[in-house]
Amino acid sequence: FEDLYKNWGKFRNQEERRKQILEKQKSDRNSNYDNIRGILESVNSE
Amino acid sequence: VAVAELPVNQWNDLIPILVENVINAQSTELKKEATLEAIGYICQDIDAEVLTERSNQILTAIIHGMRSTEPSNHVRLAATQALLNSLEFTKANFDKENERNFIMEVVCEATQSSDMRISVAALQCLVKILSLYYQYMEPYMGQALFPITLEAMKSDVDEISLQGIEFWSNVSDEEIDLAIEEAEAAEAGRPPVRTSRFYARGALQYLAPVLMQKLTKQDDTDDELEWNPSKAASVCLMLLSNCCEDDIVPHVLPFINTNIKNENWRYREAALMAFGSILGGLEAATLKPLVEKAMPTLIEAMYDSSVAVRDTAAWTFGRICEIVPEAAINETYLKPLLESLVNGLKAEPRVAANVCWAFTGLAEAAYEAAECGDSNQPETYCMSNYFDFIIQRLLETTDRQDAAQHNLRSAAYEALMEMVKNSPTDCYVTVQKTTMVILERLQQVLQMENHIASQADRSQFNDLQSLLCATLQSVLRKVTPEDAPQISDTIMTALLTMFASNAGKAGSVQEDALMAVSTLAEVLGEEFLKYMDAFKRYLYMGLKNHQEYQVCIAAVGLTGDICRALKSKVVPYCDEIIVLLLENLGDPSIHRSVKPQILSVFGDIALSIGNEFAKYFDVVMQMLLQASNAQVDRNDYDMVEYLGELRESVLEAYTGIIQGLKGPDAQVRSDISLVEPHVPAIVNFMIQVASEPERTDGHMSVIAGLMGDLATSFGNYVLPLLETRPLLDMLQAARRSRVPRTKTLANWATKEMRRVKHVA
Repeated sequence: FEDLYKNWGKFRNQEERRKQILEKQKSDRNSNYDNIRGILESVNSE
Repeated sequence: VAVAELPVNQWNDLIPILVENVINAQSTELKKEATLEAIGYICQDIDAEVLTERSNQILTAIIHGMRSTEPSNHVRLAATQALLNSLEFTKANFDKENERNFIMEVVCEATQSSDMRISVAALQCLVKILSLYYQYMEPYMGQALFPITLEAMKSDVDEISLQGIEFWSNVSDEEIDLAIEEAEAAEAGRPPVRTSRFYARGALQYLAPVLMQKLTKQDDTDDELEWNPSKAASVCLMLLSNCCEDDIVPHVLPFINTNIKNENWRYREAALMAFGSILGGLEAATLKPLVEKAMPTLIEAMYDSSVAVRDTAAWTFGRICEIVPEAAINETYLKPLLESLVNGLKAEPRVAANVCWAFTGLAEAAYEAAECGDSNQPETYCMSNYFDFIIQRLLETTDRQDAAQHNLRSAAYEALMEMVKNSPTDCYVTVQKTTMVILERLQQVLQMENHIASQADRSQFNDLQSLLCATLQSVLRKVTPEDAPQISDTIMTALLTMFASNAGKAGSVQEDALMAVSTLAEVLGEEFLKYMDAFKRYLYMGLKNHQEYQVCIAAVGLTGDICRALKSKVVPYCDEIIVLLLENLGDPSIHRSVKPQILSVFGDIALSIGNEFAKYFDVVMQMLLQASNAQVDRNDYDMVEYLGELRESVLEAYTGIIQGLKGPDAQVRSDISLVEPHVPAIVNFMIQVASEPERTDGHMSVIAGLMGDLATSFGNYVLPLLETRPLLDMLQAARRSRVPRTKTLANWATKEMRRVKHVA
């Protein structure tokens, strides 16, 4: 449980950046596919 | 040797020999001790399944050595430590009441040993038994476990106290999980597999006073790595709060009120710590008024004479910003709070690092609270007037001489990134200024390369480059499309210099630099092409970096970004990229997490280059079919998760390939005929994934999208394949998904299939 003390496990650094960029890439990929399907706007408006 | 031989059925007489050594009355003390230590080491390192069948024999030896009648404390200690390592594979013994009773009796007895080491090891056993066999603990809890662990918590011996606290942290943690499981079961309309016995709630009134008393026993020194009962008590309170929710308030609030202004800093800090620790579990209706009432006192604590109090006050603000930001972001408190935080940036590194964390939470909360109107970015927010000032102070903090302590430099850059990421339109001038500062720093750092004297310097130098690249990503995401081309040459020149330098060879730096290029490619779009000839060698270098697989993943992801940015202009680079990606897939030594990313990127490439993908179609399709057949051990949770990811990537690749060959227009291109022979195999794979119990929402969404794409591309021919029970059932489930995109895709696919039917 040591990581739960104050900010011991909180500084996100590289691990968090990796996660964020993978999420961004997935979302960009999906947007590309939805764009071809002609449903990008309705996906974004949800 | 045993760990190597026992799993392959060799040295089968070892365990009987070891057991005999322990139970034989003629064995010397030393022989018994050494044997039990050996048993302990074997149990610690061997795969639990190997010893399951021998658990009776092993337990016999261990329990024999642990008995209170054992005259040697050395033997008892070795036996107790061996038990700790054997608990995972003694489930069969815990399943039997009489054996369980006996084990529990011996362990509880050992906790009372006058030898502190035995007592600690026995308490460690109780902590582990609780986690592994929670459902069996009821008969022991009231009479034995509760009094033993409560007394342990109170102990003045830190090692014993830590185990007592650890026990109740584990109980709380277990019961939080059980509450989640019960809620999920209720939602699914089925009974839960396991139920909570609410031990934490029952013991709360006895535990809270001891924990708060422990909070006041802080370490005098500021040792950031030292774990002690005071720190453990704050974590235990946090878990108890999450577990017992509002019930904790009457047990903690009187302590906070009495001590928050105590003349002794230990009590002031303990009161603040108790306050910050319990916030996470409270109901909104309790939490908000409680925090609002405390705000003036908390702000005052930021100016306390004690560094520990200021440290905890800053941390508490971070918690508030994370849990109940509306209490901090209001007209009354925001200004004095920001003043106190900015002031805290100049304090000791431990205080300043927590202040940075508070800014991180504040930035996110303030941005979320802002009115967005019709655009996706708010025009202004409550921190706009202070934004530039805060950014300048954070930049100064990153440059502090002592910023290496307590992660301060990282914390300050993190706060800076979060402030920039969550900045409204009216702060853009500061974002522009910050971009230039970061670029300048990047150039300065690159010139420092030749002045690095030691390994420690090298490590700090690499960390700094990583942080600068990461900050560059966050500022680039905010830069307008008009501004991006004006700074891109400088950025790319700096990044290319970095790749070429020694630091650029370090995995972490390379990875962050690749991620920065990803952002630049995304921001520039087709204009990124002008950098491709200079940059491609570093991209290929990253793709070939099998050793540092995170670098390889970053390079694979960047390949996808470049395809999306350059579209058909990526064609000249595709031959080499495809060869490298296929080589990676074929390399059995490459880390498995790279492979799903590669499969998804095939989809990006296909969509970008359209009919130019035809020449890669056969070889890529072969890889996808091969990946579709991958199987894993269903008992291995990590592998099941990996298989799910791999399958989602295969389906993403099919999506990109079908869409790319079909073309973007309503008129379907003839290149799609390449896919036709594979359609039955693709649909079979979709059915297989849709029918799996491990099917995720991600699977449903990608299958729904693919169903629509197949219907659009192949028309009536494909409908009989798609209109099968598993896929139609899945589509129905997807239409009810809580994830909006999945729902939209399912509705779109349903409509596409109807449309195709209607046309036919």
